[in-house]
Amino acid sequence: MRDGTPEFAPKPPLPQSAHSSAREVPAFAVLGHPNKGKSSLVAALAQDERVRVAPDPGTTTRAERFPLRVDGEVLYELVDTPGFQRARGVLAWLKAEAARTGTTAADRPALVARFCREPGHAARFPDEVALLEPVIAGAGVLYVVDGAVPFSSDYEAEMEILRWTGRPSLAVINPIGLPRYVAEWENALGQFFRVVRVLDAVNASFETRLDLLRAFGELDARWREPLRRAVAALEADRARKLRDAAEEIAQLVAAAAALSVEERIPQDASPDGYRAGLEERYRGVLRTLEHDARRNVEVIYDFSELAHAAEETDAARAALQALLDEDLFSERTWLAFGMRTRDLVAAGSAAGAATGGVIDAAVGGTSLLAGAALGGLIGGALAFLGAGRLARVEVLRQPLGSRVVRYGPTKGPNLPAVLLGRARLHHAVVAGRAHARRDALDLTAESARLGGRFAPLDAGVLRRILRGLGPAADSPGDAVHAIEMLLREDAVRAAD
Amino acid sequence: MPRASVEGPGLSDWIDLLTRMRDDAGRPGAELAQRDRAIGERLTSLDGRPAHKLAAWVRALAAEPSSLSSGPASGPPSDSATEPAARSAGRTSEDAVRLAVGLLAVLGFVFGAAAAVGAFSFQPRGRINVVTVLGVLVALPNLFLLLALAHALPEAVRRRLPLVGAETGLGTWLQPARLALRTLPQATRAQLEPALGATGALAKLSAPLRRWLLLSASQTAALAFASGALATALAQVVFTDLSFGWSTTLDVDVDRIHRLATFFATPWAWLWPDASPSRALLESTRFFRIAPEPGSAVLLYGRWWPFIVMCLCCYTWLPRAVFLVVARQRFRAAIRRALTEAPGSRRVLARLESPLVESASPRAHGAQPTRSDEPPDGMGDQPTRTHEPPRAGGEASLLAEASLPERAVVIGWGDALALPEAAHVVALACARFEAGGMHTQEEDAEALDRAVFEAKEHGVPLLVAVRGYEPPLAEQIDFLKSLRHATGRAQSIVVAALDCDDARLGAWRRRLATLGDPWLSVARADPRARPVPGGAA
Repeated sequence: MRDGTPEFAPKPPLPQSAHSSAREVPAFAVLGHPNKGKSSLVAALAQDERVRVAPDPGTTTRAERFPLRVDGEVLYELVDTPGFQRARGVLAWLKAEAARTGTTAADRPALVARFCREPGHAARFPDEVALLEPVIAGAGVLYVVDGAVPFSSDYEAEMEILRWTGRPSLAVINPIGLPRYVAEWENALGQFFRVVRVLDAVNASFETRLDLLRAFGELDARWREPLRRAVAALEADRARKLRDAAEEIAQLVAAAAALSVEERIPQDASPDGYRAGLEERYRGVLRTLEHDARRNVEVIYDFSELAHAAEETDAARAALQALLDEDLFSERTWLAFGMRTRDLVAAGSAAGAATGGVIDAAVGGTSLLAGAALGGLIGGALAFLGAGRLARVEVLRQPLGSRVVRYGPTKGPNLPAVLLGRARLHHAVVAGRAHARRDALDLTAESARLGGRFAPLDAGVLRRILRGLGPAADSPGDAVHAIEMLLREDAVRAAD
Repeated sequence: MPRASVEGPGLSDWIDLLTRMRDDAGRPGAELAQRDRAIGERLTSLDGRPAHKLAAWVRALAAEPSSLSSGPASGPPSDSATEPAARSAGRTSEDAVRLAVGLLAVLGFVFGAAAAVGAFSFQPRGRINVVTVLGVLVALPNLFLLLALAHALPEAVRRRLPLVGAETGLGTWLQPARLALRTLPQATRAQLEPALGATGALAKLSAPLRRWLLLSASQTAALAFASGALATALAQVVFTDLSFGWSTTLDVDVDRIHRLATFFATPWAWLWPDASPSRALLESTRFFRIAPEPGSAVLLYGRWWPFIVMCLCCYTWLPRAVFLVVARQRFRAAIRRALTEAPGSRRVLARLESPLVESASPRAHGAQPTRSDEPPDGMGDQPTRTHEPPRAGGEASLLAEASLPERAVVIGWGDALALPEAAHVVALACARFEAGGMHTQEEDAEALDRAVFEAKEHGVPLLVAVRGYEPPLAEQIDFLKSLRHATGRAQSIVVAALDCDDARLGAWRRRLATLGDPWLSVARADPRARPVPGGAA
């Protein structure tokens, strides 16, 4: 099988919503006035940073489905919809038709469905038709308002239409700014919706988002089980991401702790002339390592397009600089075949002893092996003293060795500890960041906001981590686990 | 469902794993999760065997042409329907290593045969000295075997031994396998370097790999040497007339030599008694440089060959074969360990085994259809097109911002005039009406007609006060168009946006600009903004 022949037949792609066709999948249409954060809420719940979120109204022009699939099985669907644009016109038509046909409250959902099918309505009320269709198809209603602006009578027509659909509904107050009018909204919404929740879509923690999903499950008994499974799957997925991030950070710390750069220099060159260049290279590699690790953590949390604010402040750079002030510069002699001086001494001793052994044999053993012993000593001493000179010997125009200057690796725990601290902050910010946010990631600001919340790194834990990641460690598993515990605790503290 | 391969992981899998993980770095996690979970579902038979599963994963990816590209993630998709599955880098490298080791084995066989021919050709006084043959074909190879065994010692012990202490020390350097690997093409060596390199992040994992690969390759050559020597010895026995004898300057007791030979022959003596030299044979085949020829023993001279052949089998060939098997097993164990402990392997396994959770929209993002390709809104009665998003790649046109007029006929949209910020707007009203909100469309029409009449009567602009912090709605645009229809051209209409910031005002200005109405303006109804005499009228 290993001769290049395929071992697996390609698996046909799962038809979209294949599972959903077998039974009713809970669906939730996110509805509301334009620009009230419907798409932001969808982006946060679907953990999809690519959802179009824009300051101008009317960015969403059609209903778009965001199914939560677990191994292809759809457990629920979110439907992002356009905002209401002519709610009063729709309500006027509904009321007129209800009066004309004598429609009772029980028939109102059918009347709403008829509204969508009515010739000309798709052109005259394109947004209302687009947003009501998923509801007519059976979706629950998730009505979103902005708690940072006051309630007004403009909203009543929308809420009344949604009441006419007869679908299970839940209202979310999403403050886009200071939540000054939340109480006012709660009073108004309470008259139309059984469940009213407050959730800042842009800053909602993962747990808050899960709470909202659990609330979805309470809207209809049939939705409870799929929503419970969805929450469990999301929690397991979250735990996997945390482990992945811990491993990524462990790799960063291990690589930084072992980092060294070196350069071969001519025999007659002054090593000090190479110090600055090596130090700069060392810093550059360190920066690259940290940058790559951060990007990888962001990708783990499904942020592939995350923009970063201007790099860190001078103070943060100075702190790292101070850590690098320990003298990491050294010089050694490198020899062909990778032999160390110790090996060279052993070889020299052996050769000396062999030569001395010939003398012993020549005198018939009367020297009592003194020749071999003396030869070994002399050979070893010559090899030790001659290691530097041997490096200059050329064979076939290639030197047998050379001098090497090296910068790093760091000797103390400070640098890995600081990198770990920075990685913890970055992780907490990324893990807690909702996908609805469109601003750049500003670690300096986040450091000021969150820095004090994190537990200081215990020296024993740091030792355990560094030991686990060191060259003598058998497996980095323990260190990764310790980092995972730190990250988990950080995430909880950051969300508080 | 096709069964997953259970063949053990090999060097190619290790190289391909590293290549694959390097290529995957930076790719969207969701994409990787989707790809790997699909493969993982076909590998459930390998649950509990992580190394095998990882090997099967890289092979499955290599078998899919579209996933073979090792270029950047953003590269153009390959035509998977027509592109054949290329050989993976790991497979190519492993084949090159196998070729090198194969050549090494051929050379070893030739050298072994040559050594045997040489040993059997050295015939002082017409006899082949058994001691010389055993020295060249048994003792010397075992001396090298000891060196190889030194390299097989645990790292902690090996580190303390001179010359073999360093992985790149002289002892390793002189291994035939290492020399053979240096003959590989540069491209292949470049592939092998990260996987077997002595430095870098993977050094801890690649060190045992490198060691056991070199040892197993060296033992392959040594076994070939032993095989060549053995085959040549047998050929010599069959096709030539060999006369063996033994000789020494030392004054040794034949009994002692006999005990020694019997000891060495112990492993096969029970099976082949003739292959254990008898005392008589030892006595009769000893020869001295100046002694007369013992003609009576001529027939015994050939009886040494069973002992020599069995010595070659047991003490030259067999140890190498055993060591080769052990080295290969350890190499495979090192491969398995490297596969499972490589940075990122656990993540791959998690992707293979964890349920795939997808929450993003399967449809392309950022492709919401716009209606900007439709003609601009006219001034007729047709309902306003709802959306006019900002033009891509440039600034959307903005309606001019005006100041509030000194006097106006004011129409409050919804309950906008109830806002505290509306007080100064109410103050400048010579007539005041309400529309929108809880009012019916018929009430809107009535308010519109009366407002138009009042504006004409007083000769003042019409001012529509809206909540500026709310976005413009299509029904408000419809109302403005109806207003314009009722007033005709040249009547100034001002939209007064109450309580709004620059961003919100910008949204209003962009939206109203789409009406293309030159007598329509928007004003920020900020209580601090003083009305401009004659403004907007």
